[in-house]
Amino acid sequence: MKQRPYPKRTGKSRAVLVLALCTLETLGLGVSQTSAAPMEGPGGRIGLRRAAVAPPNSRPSPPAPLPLPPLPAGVEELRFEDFFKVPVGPRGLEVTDRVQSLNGRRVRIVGQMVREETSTCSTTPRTDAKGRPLPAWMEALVPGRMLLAPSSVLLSMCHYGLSDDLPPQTLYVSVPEKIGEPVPYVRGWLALTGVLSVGPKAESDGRISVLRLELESPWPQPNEVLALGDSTRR
Amino acid sequence: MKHNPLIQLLNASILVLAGAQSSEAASAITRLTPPSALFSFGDSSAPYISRFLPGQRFDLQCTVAPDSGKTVTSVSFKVDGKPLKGTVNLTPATVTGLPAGTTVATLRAYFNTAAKVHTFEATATLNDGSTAAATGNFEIVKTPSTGAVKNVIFMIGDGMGATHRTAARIMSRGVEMGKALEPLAMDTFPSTGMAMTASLNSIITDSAPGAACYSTGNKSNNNQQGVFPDDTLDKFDNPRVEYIGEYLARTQGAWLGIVTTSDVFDATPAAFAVHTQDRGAGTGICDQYLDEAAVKANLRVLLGGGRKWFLPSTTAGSARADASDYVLPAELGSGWGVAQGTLDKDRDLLAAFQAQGFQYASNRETLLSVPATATKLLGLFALSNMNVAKDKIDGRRSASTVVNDYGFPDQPMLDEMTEKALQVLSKNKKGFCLMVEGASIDKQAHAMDTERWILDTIEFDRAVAKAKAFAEKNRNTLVIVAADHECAGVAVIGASTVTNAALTTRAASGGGSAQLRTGVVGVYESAGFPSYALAPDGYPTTTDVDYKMLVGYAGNADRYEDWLTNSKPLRDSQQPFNNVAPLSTYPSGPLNRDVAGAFLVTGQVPGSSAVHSASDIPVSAYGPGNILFTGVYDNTEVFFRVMRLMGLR
Repeated sequence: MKQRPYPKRTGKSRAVLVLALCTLETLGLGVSQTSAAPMEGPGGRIGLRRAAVAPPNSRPSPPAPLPLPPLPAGVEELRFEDFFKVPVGPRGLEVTDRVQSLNGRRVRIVGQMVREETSTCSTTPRTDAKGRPLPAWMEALVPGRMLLAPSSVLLSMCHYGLSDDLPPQTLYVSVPEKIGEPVPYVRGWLALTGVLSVGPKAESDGRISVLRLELESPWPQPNEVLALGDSTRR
Repeated sequence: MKHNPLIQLLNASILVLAGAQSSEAASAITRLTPPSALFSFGDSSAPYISRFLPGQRFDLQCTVAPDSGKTVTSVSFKVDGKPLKGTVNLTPATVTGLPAGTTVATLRAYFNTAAKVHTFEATATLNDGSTAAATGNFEIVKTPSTGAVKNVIFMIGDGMGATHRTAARIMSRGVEMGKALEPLAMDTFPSTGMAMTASLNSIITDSAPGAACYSTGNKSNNNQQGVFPDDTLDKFDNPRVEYIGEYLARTQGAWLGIVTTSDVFDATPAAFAVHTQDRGAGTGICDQYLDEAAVKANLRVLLGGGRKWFLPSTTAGSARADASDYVLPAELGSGWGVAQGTLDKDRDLLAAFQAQGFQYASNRETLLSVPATATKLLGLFALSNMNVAKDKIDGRRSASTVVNDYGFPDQPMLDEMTEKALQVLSKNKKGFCLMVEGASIDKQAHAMDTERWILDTIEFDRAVAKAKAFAEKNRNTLVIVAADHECAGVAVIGASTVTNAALTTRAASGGGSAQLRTGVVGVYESAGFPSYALAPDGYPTTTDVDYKMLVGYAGNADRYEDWLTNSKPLRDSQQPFNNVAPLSTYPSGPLNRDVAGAFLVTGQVPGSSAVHSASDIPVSAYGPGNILFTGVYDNTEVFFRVMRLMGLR
């Protein structure tokens, strides 16, 4: 006779319940974008190497191990997942001790440039300093600054204003060679080196930054994207 | 749309008359609020679109499109032919595409105590002395002055249709030889009916009007809660309808409690306290919980996720921004006697709640340790939505690290939150209104994550049991179990005909439908009676049993399906850690999950998420007068039947 697995509402012979813990697979975290093996590469600049897009009926591969150049002397590797303490405390996110210790020091980090919508809900198109219409999407509304996120992010000021899904891990990167001009769009993974600063700061676009990077490395050209995998599938 | 030939004839006559006048004056009232079929279709018969309690406040409003070159100088309102006193505020319409000079005229916080259908008229006067007028109607619903019910508990399973209940019953109670071995707690309620869920502008509602129908008795457009649509872009200036919590606080001194497993700014919780046409305006919504709901509705309990709206923008993890904040027009603030608000993204809303006497709990441990004497309680257990029941319970069993990955390893279950809310609210001798939402029944049905919405329905039912137990001891308590809508068109289609081991092999085979449909999906008698075992914590020991229950989706987007329980939920874009490891390794959509089996189920809807359906939803009632909730009725009727049992006092 098949045993009833459920407690009965009436009757004396309640089935004994056994707590059998679910044997879930351990979390395969894949290869994070910065758990990379050291690489070769001329002068620390990385050439384009497109990752194959996974066929539609297979699991998307985690990004391939990235051959990053060896860290220059005095530069620390920084990862987005290192930014904040886990578990979260009773209030907001708290910067980890390691990141706090890197305040004012040179770091390298891999991420993707946030795309910021240039148009607003008004019908007047935005223009550059010379009155030329700006493209619908570009890197940054704030001249000389771009946002580096852990993965691909689009921001629409028209639809969400500042209440969007910009991750709190976003790094606010000032680009000295682009002072006073919009930072051009570069799609894909970027490895940026610069000086980290930590702590809340009001930005000119109304946001509050927590972590910022003063870029040292040259601004990459569009064909110098890291081959870390297809960002749209992450 | 009406199809009565006589009405169509009348409409045609009206059009002819309007045409005759157009050569002289094309100025017109293009919107008249509250909405009515009389205004929209010239139909003065039932059903009446807008209905209110005697004394329930609501705004009268019209939009006037003047003829070219003219301006609107004044607007007056009449009800049953009698001019109304009070200030009619004129403000420019700001939605695009309207004629120049289009003006919105509002009379705030009107009420009427005479139970019958009323006709109302708006007359606009223009600068050349010409006028434009329009007529609509609304009903004041007869409601007794006293009632047997003092406390009302709305248990809302977001997206919970009949099948969500069926699946939870099969998994948590079992079926043998054709009979359920036990009912769910919500099945034990003596009366059940079905509610129709269409919103003001669609047969398919979303959660905002789908929940606000219970708290206002009225319809609204999708995305809107506690308001009627208007012709301005302002998120917070829409014509309002008084909420049940506001009404009961004002007339009876009752308290309000809101409990959810989602972010507290989400549509269903906010639809019991905050009036807005934009369910996404999180900063303003959460500010108004304190600025307005705590003052006007006696909000005493607020539990859920969404801490990101309560932290000053200078704190990492905050989502506060001026763009999602609120500032009410002065005329609205004075008309309703509420705070106007200010753009204050740097506000420490959490500390502000505490300064108002709210005890704050940040996790399960601190929630359970809140003293029994507490009379105000704020619990924010995650920065955004809380984790779902499966991941919370697996975390407690040390069977998964999902809650750790989210950064909140110690989140309470919904029944624990419900018990604590009742402990606080029951201190008020003048009664209370409590809304408890099982939010992720909907969210996981959208994700077509079968086991996760089933476990969330089980979690919700365990909270229902707590509410019922309270009502058993406090006989003047009415418990309503409902949903805002059905989500995903779910159906139990049968059961697997293979063991879990065999299914696991097939799911890794890449064999597509030949491996995962043929020979697996058992229908009719092949389904038999899937059998799950419960752990002492009340949840299944495993959801991957041999010959498991199988669920299909009528509202599905493209998805891969292997029938096995997903070890990880889909990524939630609102989570602050969403974009970094390990959450960034979670599947991002139903095409990035279960792909090894190569069994693609082609969606009937575009996008990557299953959709709400128009299916009626079950409503179950426990407590005095529960018999009123049998039958098939409009969702707004629930509000009026609850109030019939509570009385106006």
